[in-house]
Amino acid sequence: MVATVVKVDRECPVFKVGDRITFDYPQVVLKETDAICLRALSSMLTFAVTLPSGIGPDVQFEDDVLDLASQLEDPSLRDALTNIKERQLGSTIYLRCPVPLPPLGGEGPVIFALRREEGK
Amino acid sequence: MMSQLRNRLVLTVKEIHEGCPIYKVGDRMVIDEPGISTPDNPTMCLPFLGDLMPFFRALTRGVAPEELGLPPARDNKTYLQCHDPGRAYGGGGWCLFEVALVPVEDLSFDLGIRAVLDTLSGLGLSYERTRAGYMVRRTK
Repeated sequence: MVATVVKVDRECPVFKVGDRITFDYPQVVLKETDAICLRALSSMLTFAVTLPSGIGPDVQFEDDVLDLASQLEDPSLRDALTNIKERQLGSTIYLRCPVPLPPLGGEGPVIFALRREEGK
Repeated sequence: MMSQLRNRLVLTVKEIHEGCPIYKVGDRMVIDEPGISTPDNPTMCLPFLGDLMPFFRALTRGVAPEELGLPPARDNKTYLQCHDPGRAYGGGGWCLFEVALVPVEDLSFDLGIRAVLDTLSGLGLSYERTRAGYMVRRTK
């Protein structure tokens, strides 16, 4: 499984967009990893175990379902399906680190995309 | 009737070595994802929750314990132990937990997902449940 940073909402002391963490259960592959954050690592542990076993997002959509998007009259459903298709949510798990946004005092959350890669 | 693709996890303290400030032998924790209940003891051990965290999602979805590096299931049971190494290494005592994998049709989170997916039938969509999750497709 590879976790890729797709968004940094404010400032993160560890990651920048595009950074990767590569897992090969039960290892973190250090030579294919840009940085590790203990807070985020804790949040993605359960997925690092399940994705290599073929357990992905709880809800997935066949491609022709996503093609329905343009035909939907309800704008919220249309946007939701379009969003799923464009961001490949059907095969990707998105995860946010547990640090909240300011003004609550945190450093700002990071969004990760978790994807299964062959052999990892 | 849906096939039983989920496991409820019942963790039972089987052994305590050199003492434990929280648990006694026989105490249980029941994981019905996303919830956990403790019918025998109102207190939970936070350090052990950390030990459990990598495994609960996979075990509730039917991944074999040996795929995760845990003892292979016998009679639908595997085992975990807490990370305290014992007094010889400056720690306290440690517990061995039996993890019973109890096949069930639905866990709590299934009910929430299907409540949403059932609203899609008006759009000509249906879904099939597999071990990996819910696959949504056009109704034939």
